[in-house]
Amino acid sequence: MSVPDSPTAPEPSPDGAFLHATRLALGLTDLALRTAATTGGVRLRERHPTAAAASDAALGLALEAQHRLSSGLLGAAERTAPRTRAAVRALVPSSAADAVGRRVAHLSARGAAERLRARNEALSWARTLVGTLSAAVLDEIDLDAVADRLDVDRVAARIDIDAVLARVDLVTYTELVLEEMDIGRVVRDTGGSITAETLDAFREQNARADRLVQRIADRLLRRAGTDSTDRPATGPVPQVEAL
Amino acid sequence: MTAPTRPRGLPVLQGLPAGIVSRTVAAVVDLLVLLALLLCLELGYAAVRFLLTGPPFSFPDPDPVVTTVLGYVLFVAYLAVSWFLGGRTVGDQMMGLRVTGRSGRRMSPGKALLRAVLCALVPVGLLWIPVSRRGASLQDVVVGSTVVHDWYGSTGPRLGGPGGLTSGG
Repeated sequence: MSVPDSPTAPEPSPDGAFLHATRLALGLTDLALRTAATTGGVRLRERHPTAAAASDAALGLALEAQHRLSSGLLGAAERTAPRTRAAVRALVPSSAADAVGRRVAHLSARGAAERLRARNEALSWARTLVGTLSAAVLDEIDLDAVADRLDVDRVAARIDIDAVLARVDLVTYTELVLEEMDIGRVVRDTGGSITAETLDAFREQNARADRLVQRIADRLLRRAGTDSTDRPATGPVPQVEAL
Repeated sequence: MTAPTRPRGLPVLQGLPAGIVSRTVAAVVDLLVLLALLLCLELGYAAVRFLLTGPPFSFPDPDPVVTTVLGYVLFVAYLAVSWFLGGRTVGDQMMGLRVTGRSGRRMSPGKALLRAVLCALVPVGLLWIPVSRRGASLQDVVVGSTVVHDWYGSTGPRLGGPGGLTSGG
């Protein structure tokens, strides 16, 4: 733990860091104890109240002692730091101090790089561990059995569909989707072209049947083919009727 | 929407007299339209009667003679109005046909009415089409009309210039 150079306390105070670390350690210990007790079948509530109060009192005492100790240490360090620096400046030659500074900087850079490498390794190891553990847990769990035990009807009964629908603006969403798809244009395009093509094909078939009937009639009447196909499109129709 | 986007089939037919098959199919479609009209008429009559006299709701059961006469009158009116206004009925529209005078112009109201009466009373006049050299039915011979292919409304009579009547197609 390095002592800060400035006499003013840093933003995250060392005392607070101590307290945080202590709380973390205590919390983890407590969780571990409870987990062990639950696994071992021991019920924590069965402890005697006096024993529980005594253990908590001991914990409080230890925390108070740690707090005072850290406060005293920090105060002493703050008070002695300027003098220590002055004494070091007076006793140690500047060249030696520079050499030490360079050495410290070199070591610091190497340490930082090492810390980064270690962090990455720890991360990858943690990922592997989590993956292995998850796979092992999934192997242990019989999902089919879980699904069999699941009462779907009960789950469905607990879902308030109306409330869900009330929160979803279906009309707006539907309009958005339809607007995006432009159903009207699709229907118009496909319907129009399909209808037109089908109708044309139907008319064409009927026109062929017309010609067939006309040829048969011409043959029966023993006359040459009618001149209908040579007639102009919109010109006046000949008035002569061949009876 | 109805503008042809490709060379449609048999463009050479446009403006030529239609044969018996096309015109019979058109007539059948017109008959179906007549039946639909009659049904709508009966339904409307029943609905009005229900509104005025109250329940029960029931379809009218008129005398067959009344139905027949009503059907004929309705058919004649439908044909005459269609031929006079657009030159084509629903059946003609479906089959791409147009009914015109011999000059290619739209028929007058009198001619349209006479042709409608003849068509309704003597539908077998269509059988004259194969016999006629210009594909005319008996009604066409009497009235002086003709029925031509006009699939896209481009060969029919245009009234009032290019932007005029080009019904159907």
